[in-house]
Amino acid sequence: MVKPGGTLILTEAGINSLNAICAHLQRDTGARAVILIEKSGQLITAQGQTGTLDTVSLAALISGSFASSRALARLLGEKHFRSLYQQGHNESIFVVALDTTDSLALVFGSNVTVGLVKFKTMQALPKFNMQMEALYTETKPPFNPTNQGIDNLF
Amino acid sequence: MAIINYASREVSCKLVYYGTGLGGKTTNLEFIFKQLPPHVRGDMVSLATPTERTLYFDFLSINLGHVAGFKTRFALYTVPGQQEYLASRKLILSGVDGVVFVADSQRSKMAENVLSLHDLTANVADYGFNINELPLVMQFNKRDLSDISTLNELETTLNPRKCPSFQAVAKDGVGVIDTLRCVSKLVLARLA
Repeated sequence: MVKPGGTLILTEAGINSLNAICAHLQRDTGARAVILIEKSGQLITAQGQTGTLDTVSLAALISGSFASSRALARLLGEKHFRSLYQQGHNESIFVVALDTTDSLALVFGSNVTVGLVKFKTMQALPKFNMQMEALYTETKPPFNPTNQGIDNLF
Repeated sequence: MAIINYASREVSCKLVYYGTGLGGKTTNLEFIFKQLPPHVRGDMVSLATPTERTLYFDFLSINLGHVAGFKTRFALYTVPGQQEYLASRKLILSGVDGVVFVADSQRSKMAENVLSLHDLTANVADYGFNINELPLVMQFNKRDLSDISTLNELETTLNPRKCPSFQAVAKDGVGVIDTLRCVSKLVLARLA
């Protein structure tokens, strides 16, 4: 669960590092896309064939689906369901929770086996965990919007 | 949880429309969706029952432009208002940056509004947060109906904190953009 009102700072170095890990996993698995989702459902980053995917909506829906499965686990007395696999005819999704409770989702086609996706994802998980934990300790001061700048949005 | 991405110069925030069932939360999002040109918003995703009641949430992503050199993106969610979907409402509040409470102005709905507000306060508290520390905007909807509470009654009963409030007729778009503008400003100002 995420405390409302917090801020996650993605520095250039941090996001570049995450992009590199995502891109490596995407190449390793042959997945269509690797999507990293912040625990409240917002997209952190995505790599792969993202041009044809609505990654922002996907992130919100995957996060909602995964949050539901976590709540289900609690109802059943399980500590958590660590991963979730949704199998489609042409496209499937594998989602796994990070230690920070953010989610990592892989969208992959029928030409890729779920076994490979699971294996390679689990192998890459420590790198994601380490990088995300580092991001949560970032203290770079946030941006400074002026009132006039905000007014100009509308 | 707001995300500030220094690489893509983008700020992302999460707004939740909260309130009673059939109060007009989805209607707010539908109006925003229709009002904004396609290049600044995504598709509207609705997880609804066959009778069009929100089952889990509605979702709409919008880009509002640039502030301080950062592109601003807001993810708008509604919650299902019906009592039985308490667990869903709580999940959707996870990491929220700002809340719009959509109150149904009809006199017969006052008790439900009060319950829903208590429910919001309790759900936010379960995340270890005080509702008073969260940007909150009140929207008094359905002002076009006949048997409605007065503005004073609504303010006294639902808005003792004196949050910014707006009268609305969401189905006609009245007050919808004003509400969105206000909550967006509060959320962005809080990041400074």
